[in-house]
Amino acid sequence: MLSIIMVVMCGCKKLVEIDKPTNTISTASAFGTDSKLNSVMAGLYNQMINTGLAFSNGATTLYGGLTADEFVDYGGPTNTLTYPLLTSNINANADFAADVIWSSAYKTIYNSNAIIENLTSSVSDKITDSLRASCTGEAKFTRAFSYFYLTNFYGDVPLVLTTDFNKTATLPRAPQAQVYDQMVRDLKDAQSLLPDNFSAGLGERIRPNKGAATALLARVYLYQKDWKNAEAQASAVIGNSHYSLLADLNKVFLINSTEAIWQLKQDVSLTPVGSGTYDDINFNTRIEWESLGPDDQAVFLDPSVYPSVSFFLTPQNYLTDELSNAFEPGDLRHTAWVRSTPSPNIDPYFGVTYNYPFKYINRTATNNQPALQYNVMLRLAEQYLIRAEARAELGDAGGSAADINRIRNRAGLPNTTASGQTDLLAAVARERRIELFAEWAHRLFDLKRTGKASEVLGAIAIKQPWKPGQLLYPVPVSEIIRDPRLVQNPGY
Amino acid sequence: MSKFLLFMKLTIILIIAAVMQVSASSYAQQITLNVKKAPLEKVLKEIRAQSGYDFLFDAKLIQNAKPVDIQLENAGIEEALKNCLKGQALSYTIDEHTVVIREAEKTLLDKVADMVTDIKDKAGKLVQPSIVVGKVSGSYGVPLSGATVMVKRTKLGTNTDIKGNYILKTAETTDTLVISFIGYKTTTVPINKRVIVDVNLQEATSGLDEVVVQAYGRTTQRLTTGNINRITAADIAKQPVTDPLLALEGRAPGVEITPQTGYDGGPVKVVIRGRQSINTNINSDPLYIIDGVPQTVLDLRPFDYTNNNGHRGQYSPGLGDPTVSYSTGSSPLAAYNPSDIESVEILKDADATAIYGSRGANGVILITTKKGSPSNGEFSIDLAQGVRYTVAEWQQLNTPQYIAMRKEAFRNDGIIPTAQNAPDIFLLDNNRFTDWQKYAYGNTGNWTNLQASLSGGTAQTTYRLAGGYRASSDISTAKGRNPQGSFSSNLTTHSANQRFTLSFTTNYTFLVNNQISIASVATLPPNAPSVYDAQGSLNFAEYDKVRIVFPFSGLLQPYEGKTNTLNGSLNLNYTVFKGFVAKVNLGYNNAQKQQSQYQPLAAQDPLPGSPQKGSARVENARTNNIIVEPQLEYNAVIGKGSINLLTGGSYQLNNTSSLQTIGTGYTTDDLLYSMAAAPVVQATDTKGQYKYAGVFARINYNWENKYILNLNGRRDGSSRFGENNRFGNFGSVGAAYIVTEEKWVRDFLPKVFSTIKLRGSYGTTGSDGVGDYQYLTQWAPVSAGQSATSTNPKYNGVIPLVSIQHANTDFHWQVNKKLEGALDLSFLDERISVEVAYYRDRCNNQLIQFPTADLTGFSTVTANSPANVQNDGWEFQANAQIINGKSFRWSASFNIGINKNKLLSYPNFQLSPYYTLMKIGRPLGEQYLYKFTGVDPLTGQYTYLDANHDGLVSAVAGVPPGTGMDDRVALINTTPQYSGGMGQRFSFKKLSLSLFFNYRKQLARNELASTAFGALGNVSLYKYNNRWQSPGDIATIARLTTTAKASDINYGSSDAAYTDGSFIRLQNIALSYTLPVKIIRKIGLKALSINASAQNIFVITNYKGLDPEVNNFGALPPTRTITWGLSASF
Repeated sequence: MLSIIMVVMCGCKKLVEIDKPTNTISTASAFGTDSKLNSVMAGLYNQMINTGLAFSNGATTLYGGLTADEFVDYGGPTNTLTYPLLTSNINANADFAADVIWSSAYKTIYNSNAIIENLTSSVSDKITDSLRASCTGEAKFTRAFSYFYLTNFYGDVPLVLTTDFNKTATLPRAPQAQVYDQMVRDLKDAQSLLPDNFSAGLGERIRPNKGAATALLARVYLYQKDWKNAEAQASAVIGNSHYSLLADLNKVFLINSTEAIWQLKQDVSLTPVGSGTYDDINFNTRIEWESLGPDDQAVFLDPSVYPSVSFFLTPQNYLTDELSNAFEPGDLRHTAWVRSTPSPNIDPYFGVTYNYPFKYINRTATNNQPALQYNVMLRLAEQYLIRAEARAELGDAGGSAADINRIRNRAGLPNTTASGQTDLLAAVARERRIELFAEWAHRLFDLKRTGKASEVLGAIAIKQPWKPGQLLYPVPVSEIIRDPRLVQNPGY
Repeated sequence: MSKFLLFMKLTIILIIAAVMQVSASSYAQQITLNVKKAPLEKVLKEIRAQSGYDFLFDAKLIQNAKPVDIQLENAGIEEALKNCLKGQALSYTIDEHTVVIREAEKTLLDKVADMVTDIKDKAGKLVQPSIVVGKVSGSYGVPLSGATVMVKRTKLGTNTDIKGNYILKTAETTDTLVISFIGYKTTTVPINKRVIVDVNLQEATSGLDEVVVQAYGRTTQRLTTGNINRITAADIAKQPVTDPLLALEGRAPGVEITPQTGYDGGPVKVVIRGRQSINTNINSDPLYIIDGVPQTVLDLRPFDYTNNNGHRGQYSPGLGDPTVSYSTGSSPLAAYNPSDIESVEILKDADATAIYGSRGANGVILITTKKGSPSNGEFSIDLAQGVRYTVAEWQQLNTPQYIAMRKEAFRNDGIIPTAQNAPDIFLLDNNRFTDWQKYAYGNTGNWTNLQASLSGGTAQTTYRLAGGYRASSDISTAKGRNPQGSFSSNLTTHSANQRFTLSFTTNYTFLVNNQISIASVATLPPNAPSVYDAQGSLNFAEYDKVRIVFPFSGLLQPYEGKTNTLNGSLNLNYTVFKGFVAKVNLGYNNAQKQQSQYQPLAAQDPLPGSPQKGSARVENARTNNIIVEPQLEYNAVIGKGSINLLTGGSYQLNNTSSLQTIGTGYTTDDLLYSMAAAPVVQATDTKGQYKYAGVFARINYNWENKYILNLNGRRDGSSRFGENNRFGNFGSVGAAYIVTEEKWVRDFLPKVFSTIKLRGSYGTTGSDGVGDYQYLTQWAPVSAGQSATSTNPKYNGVIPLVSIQHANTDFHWQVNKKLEGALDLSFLDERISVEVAYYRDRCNNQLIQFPTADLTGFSTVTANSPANVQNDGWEFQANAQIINGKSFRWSASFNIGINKNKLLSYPNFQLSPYYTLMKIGRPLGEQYLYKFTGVDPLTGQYTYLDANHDGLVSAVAGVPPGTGMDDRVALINTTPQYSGGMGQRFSFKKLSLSLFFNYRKQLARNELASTAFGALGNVSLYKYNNRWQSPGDIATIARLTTTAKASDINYGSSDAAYTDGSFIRLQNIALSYTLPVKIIRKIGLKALSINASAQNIFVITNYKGLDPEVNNFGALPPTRTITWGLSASF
């Protein structure tokens, strides 16, 4: 017995050693081979596209569009989470829908940081050098991509560049300029680390490559008002033979679109997105009005039937009249990218016709069908408009007009009549509004970076009383509680 | 493996031995003799005839025997033989059914006695020797090894040896001996010129000398230096509860037991001496030890990283995934049969818990199961039958009142009600009325409890076999009942020379738990459509039409949990030499739980356009515990005191695993119960291993039963920490001073005082209460989370791998420092006893899921919190035998625990996640709320104090409450200020009655906090009757409105939402009548009693709501159980 106790005393260290977990692996193991590294990269993109509404999946477009003048929420005041966005009446201390932008972007940043850090420190010889480089480049790209949206929604944001919680737990906010500098550094690194082709996505455009880094860098320079670099980077993308504008507007958002610079591929087996995208859920009706036969349409519009089917016929968000009316007559983009659904002329529907974005094909709640679209993250048309704006600012009126016309002509519209710098800039802004509507909060960010946000949005009736402070979203209060060094944006 | 086989073999032999013993015992019944001066031979023949035993003896030996006087009625064989051979130089053994009688060997004692009696002085006179020898025995004549025999005058003494013998060399013939042994009444015996002084001690059944189980041993209330509360079988068995934990409510001061749901077997929150954690929801469970086997139930669900939110922090998550069941988990003891429990000891202070060192931070609950006791085989049964029903329901509006309320709300808002905005007025039948609470909870549940046990044995070997069946149904049970079956056995045996003792105990239980969930019936309009339509399907269509979420889907979405638990322990004890015992405890625990939940198509709204699919969710979880604890114990009398040394080691291995399978996409309900038929199957598995090893030692020194010193030390290692932090040291010092043992005190003190005892302790205990592998960096494939409708995602066909937690290798043992001082008094020959204790516990490095901002990547990290939390308080308990007459007895007990909790300090508090949630120096449970200032008589809106006069009533997160723009200046703390219980027990002849009350002084959230008032949905009549109606009204409740304004919503965040929730509850009343023996004997029974018991009889409270312990509006209401039954023994 005594010997047992002696063994217990001596062998204590051994006695409390346990087997490794069977359902998780260590960091060293995860960064041990090419195939596991591939899984880690899948984890990065999966988090961006397959985990519900995220900044990288639906949230930026929807919330940015509500805050700007793109959409109206069909539910109105009953949607207590999103109505404050539409009415510029956000209460930072109440539940706020757009908090998901903050948390999902920082999650992507965490994942990116983990990849960058561990690929730097991993000594495994089972990871090929080219993969090590390209994966580091992808992670730097996704980090910059996340910071772009964070800083445009929140202004100054904490600059998290490590996974070490001891260093990040009490970070203060960093000035926006510093965040932009970091984006530029990351994107330049990414350009040098990433391949020009689509090999990482096995031919599909679903992993960022050099083109994606260049395209985002062009946008970052544009936002920094570094016109020359913006022009140069945009030109590099436009001149890249991998990318070309499609003549058929109905094909722009499809999976094999040559206009796509980077897409995220949703897992079609997942609900609620299924074979569609989050934008599909946010904007499309459950039953498409035009797919109904005339008899069905008549039955559905019957005032006694309509209340029980209105749920299926109405979009969750529809276009504002301001946006609908901004399309020029004959704009093919209205034909291809806008749908409408009527309502009966009774209280409380009043025969209103709802226009809604139709860039995203209606596949709501259809699981396990082949996807027709992926989530388009970056596309070529924007690069033309970046270059058009940069050229206008640089005084290259001809080049600017040519780029604008490239976009207008495709939409079946004649060349722009603008010629002077001011007019050209206005024309670019107008074209951006139409071409890029219901995409990535372009409208909101454009109004903000050109200083027109209060002038334009402050005039909208539903946003009264106008609170300019709401152009920056509030830092989630749960974050301020957990990291008291964070200071709330003014006005909240 | 070979060890296991050996173990199995041993088990089989033991079981066979037990069975044989049973048959022997049943043989050995009922010998009746009445003879005087009869020859022994004749008597033995008579015994043979009556018992059926054969006899084997040397006839010569018997003929020389003395004649026998004997009077026996229905005696066992052993008793008969003992009586016959009393005073004869003969001994007997029983082998199978044969009694062998031999010449008795002279024992050591006899030899010594012979020797000393022969000493003569020179004159040939017998010398009075200064030596005394004897044997100390206990109940059933069992020799007591290790009893203390002390000479009262000199305070010098000795211990008895294995066979209970002692030799005292220093006594004088006029001295008095004091003989004591744990669990027996201390007895004084004058030597009275004898040489042989045999003593038979009487077991102490109550009071200070009753046995109390402590860590690795036994002690008594008189001798303990720590704080141990004991709750015995008698108090537990009387209560018709399904979970033994619930039987403890109010029984011990400082122990708060609160069921978390209304479901049978649901989680129970146990808090001993206040909240220690700065985290609101962290698991505060004490360490549960059943027959020496610690119950480790691991919390294995991986982090749900999709929403960044760990699931940790549930109260008592129990076995398996808590989210599968509607009760969100299960109590760790739900499956144990309360009828098998002999006693529950609650260890609270450092002295009592330190030897469990590493895991005693939250207190320790020791559960001891019933063992056999020597008898001729007693078979007893208990039968009980009962009913359960809802005690109270909300008084809600009827249909006309409801319609009137809705119309008034629209009028107030200036809105014209239409079919669109008021479907309940226009589209529903306004003559219809259903009491939805009655519909959902109006059923009468039932209660059946059948327990049978057989126990008995000899002084050498005892056994107990027990089986039980219990079925209860709570008011929300789908299949009507939650049956539980149990089987337990115990065998304790000593070798013939008393050196070796073996005790083997097993408990097996099987519990089935059914649940359904019905949400928000209390707010359903009284004229809402029927639950089923004309075809008998769920009536989704009509509910959809009026846009009310159909609340009854749960009726067809059953949950079933099946729990199997097996607990086995084997204790081996070998006395190497007098006072030196080597022991080993081996424990094995296996628990398995199968949970299943189904979402059939029939329970889903058949919406057009979005075809519904069925889904099934099945989980199998298991946990295995093995514990080995070798120990050495030494007892000796040194100087004027006795010393007890204990040292040992503990090694524990725990393996837990689960497999959860979710089948989705079923297009028909027919195949729902087949996982293979699921179009999409998704699996999540978890696996964990936990190892734990430690060495411990205890030194206990008892000086004249006056000064007692108790030292504990322990060094522990746990696999839950990173390599460099695995080991921790814990220890405690406890001391007691029994003042009344001082002669000068005795002389000076009035006679009413029996005992005055002071005791105190200080020490450290710890906790490794975090999940396994938390210190590792971990990457895992992404699973679908807990949504039953999604599958494991992939990115471009590749299974994603993600980091699942912050890696922190630095966290280490949590150490709690506990201080206690107490005064124990007893009066009037110990008929009244009182204990007052003060304690102060401090915890400044609690292991928690420490909150981190999402920007760090995860919302929590496993770490030691720098918060220093103090709980201090007073505990008081008293027991009194008020009347102790021959036919009438009355005893009473009372206890109260007062706890104060505060955040003592927190380094760099302004940078901590708690800066805006709590304040240093204030209780952790304090909430900061708006100060309610009444209903505005003009507008009918609620108003609140604008504390900073900025014209706004606002809550600003991110600043400390009540500063800046923030107006939350009212402080509300719902932690009980004090709580306790009181019991009364009366017996008059054969009738006995007991009552038990528990009480709490606390604030509780009231029903008024629910905001829906005027919108679609029923409200309480109280609110309706007290509402504001027109300008000038002085009302307590705001005007009706169809959409809640900020002023309505803020009500729930104001102090008005809390009212006095103090209560006194008659928790249990039990009545029992024992039938007279004369009548019973005629029908062949030994005893028969009939009894009735009721649980939750009434509540005295000012609380506005159903029950002060059920704060949620519309939650499962409290129930009352009434049972009746009988107990018989044969």
